[in-house]
Amino acid sequence: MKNNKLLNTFALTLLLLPGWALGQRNTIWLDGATTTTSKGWRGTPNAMRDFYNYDFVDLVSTNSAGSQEYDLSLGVRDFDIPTSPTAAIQMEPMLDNRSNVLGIAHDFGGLVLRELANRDNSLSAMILDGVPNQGSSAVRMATYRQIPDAKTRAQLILENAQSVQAMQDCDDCNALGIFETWINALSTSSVDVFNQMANSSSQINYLNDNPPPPEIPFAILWGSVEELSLMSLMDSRTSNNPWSTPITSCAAEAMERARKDYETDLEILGLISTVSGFFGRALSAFGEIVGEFAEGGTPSPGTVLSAYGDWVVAERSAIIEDIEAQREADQELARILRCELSHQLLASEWQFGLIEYGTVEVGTEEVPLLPEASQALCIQYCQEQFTGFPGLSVFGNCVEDCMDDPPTQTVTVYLPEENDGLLLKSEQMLDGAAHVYHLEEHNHFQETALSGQSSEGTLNHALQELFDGAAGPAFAVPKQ
Amino acid sequence: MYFSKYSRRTAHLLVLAFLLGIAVSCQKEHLSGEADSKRSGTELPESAAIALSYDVIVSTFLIPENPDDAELLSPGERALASPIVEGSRVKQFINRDGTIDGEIQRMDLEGMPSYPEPRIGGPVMPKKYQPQRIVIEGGASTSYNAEGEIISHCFQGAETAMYFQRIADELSEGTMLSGEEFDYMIEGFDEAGFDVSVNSQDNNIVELAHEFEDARRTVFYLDKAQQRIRARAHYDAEGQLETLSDYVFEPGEPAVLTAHRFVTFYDAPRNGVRMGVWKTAQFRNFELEKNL
Repeated sequence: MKNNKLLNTFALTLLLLPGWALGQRNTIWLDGATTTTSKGWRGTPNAMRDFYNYDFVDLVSTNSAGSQEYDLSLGVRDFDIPTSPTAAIQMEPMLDNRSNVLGIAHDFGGLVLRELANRDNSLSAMILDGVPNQGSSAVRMATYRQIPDAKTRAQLILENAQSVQAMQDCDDCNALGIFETWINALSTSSVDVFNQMANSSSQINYLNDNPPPPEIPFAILWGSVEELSLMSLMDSRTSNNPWSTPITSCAAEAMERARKDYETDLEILGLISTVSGFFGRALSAFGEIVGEFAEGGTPSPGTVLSAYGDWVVAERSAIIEDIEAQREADQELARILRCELSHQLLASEWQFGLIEYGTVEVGTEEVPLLPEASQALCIQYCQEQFTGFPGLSVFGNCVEDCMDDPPTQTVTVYLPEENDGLLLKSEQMLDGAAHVYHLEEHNHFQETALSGQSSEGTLNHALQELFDGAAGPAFAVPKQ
Repeated sequence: MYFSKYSRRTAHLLVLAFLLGIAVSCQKEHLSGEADSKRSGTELPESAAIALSYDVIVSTFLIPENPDDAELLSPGERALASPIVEGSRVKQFINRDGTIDGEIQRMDLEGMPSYPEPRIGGPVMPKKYQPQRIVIEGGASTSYNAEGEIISHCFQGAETAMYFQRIADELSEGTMLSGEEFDYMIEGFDEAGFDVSVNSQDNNIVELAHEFEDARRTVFYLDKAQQRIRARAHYDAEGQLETLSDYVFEPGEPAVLTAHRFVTFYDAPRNGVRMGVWKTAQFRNFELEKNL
């Protein structure tokens, strides 16, 4: 009798013990659609196992099918051909005879994981890192074409930025070219998968509405960057170390070297010409001629003019060279400005693309009449009533404006919703999460980073907390 | 007819001040270190020919050439109408050998707009790569970010030193003509075959134009009273304005350079709007000490 009681207690303890207490935790790790959006994710399970000593088996990487273990390009669901195989259907055999499986996914892999959870009760919990749970405006911007063969919106905004550079060489370490390669890859490779990630896609609507959001516990990890830099985004795309900055460093150096070259070689020539150059030399030459003739008494204007005319004729070639040099100096400044502005414009357009269906806080700021130099010019024009320089019609009202004291104007300021450079916060969120982690200063690609950084908010910190049971036993993974 | 001369030294210095005010670094090196400026104020060391200090506010922004086209712009283009504004306090020493020592400190100056951040349309480079302080010493310039980390370091080339030596040499030169003399000088250009005309709106402005063989054209706007180039405009072979650079001088003897404005244009492919890319600089609190 006593033995039976002990046996029952042992059986009850086994039932109450979390599954992981009995050994390795079964997991599956799913990366994004391609390395285009999920660089380096495949290194994450190894890092958590080998570096942080968690004891789990990755059913995907240990699958006997080897590298063909699953094909994310099969997508969440094909509504045109409902009988088509999907990535989730393809993965179901991996879960045969398994239980208490923890799914961990990044980017598009999270959508597949959600569909797998709908189909197979082997999954007991999910960790969704940087997953477009509500669909992605950015992906839509990079994939959607109004008509076949038309350019995507991302390609159009890139084209606009390139036009600012006016096809001239731009000292930006080909940052725009790298961006172009990326968005072209988004628009052409595995395009069906990317279409499924876009907001308002049938697959996103299906996952969120029919059936409803997942019933098993899930945690959300969402990333954001305080200041969006497309160069930083491209850094993470091009370097194996997601924290290195090859593009930003190179472009910063190149752009500033161009500016320095301009300052030391060309701008001096242009600016000093206001008082020197051919004009300064002409003033000096005329003064010297007058001085020479004045030594013999008051010269006649004709005499001076004749001598000065000879000087101008003799100097004509040098004067024209000087004019050409100043033209080149101004064109070089234009090139540098356009190079910087092209990146500014691309980043601005990209952010407006991100927030197309998100939120943007619009505010106004009362600022001095801009630009500052225009204010000074306005006042001068008020005094002189001169507006005869070309290209200044934009300041047509400045004469009236500058009569105010002090002259001001209202500018519109746009503050975007928090985002990781690719996904908005609202796109990554999903109602009902057991726990939400904010990965601060992680752009979409850095969310895959496990570079040993231990500060709060990093991916490894979030995963460690979850594996250690901070959000409940459903996410727990034992240590080795 | 009477003839007069006076030094154009100050004008040269103001031009130089502008040049130095926007000087930045040339090579990126991710090192750590703190700026250590050995000089403060504008007191003049023995080796220096000139000490100068000033504040400068530089703005860059994008607006359509025709304000009526603003409605056609995309939100991204509209966001760039709010300028990126950079204020700097500059101290410079120009040495007798043409080298430069000094310090450029980025800071908020009165009149600069203060935007909430992070806004759309801000600077391209992340804050970590934006120079906050530039120290120029011993023929090299070093840039520091807001955390005091070195973000670039470069040496002043011999060519640069020659430029500044030349400027220092020219500072004691300069000629101011009477109004009548100035008219004769301009007439000399006319007779030598240059295209010279009086501006239709202002008799004080003389336009001196040169057309290149490929039909490109450059026009200089000469201020008779101030005897300075007030603006220069470059046109392409189709007659489209490519760039305009104009300068503002506070009237006086000598006139003081207070602002510079530059614009270049491009046609936006999506909406066909001709856009102007602007860069402006305004100078304040100029101080100068000479040891020539």
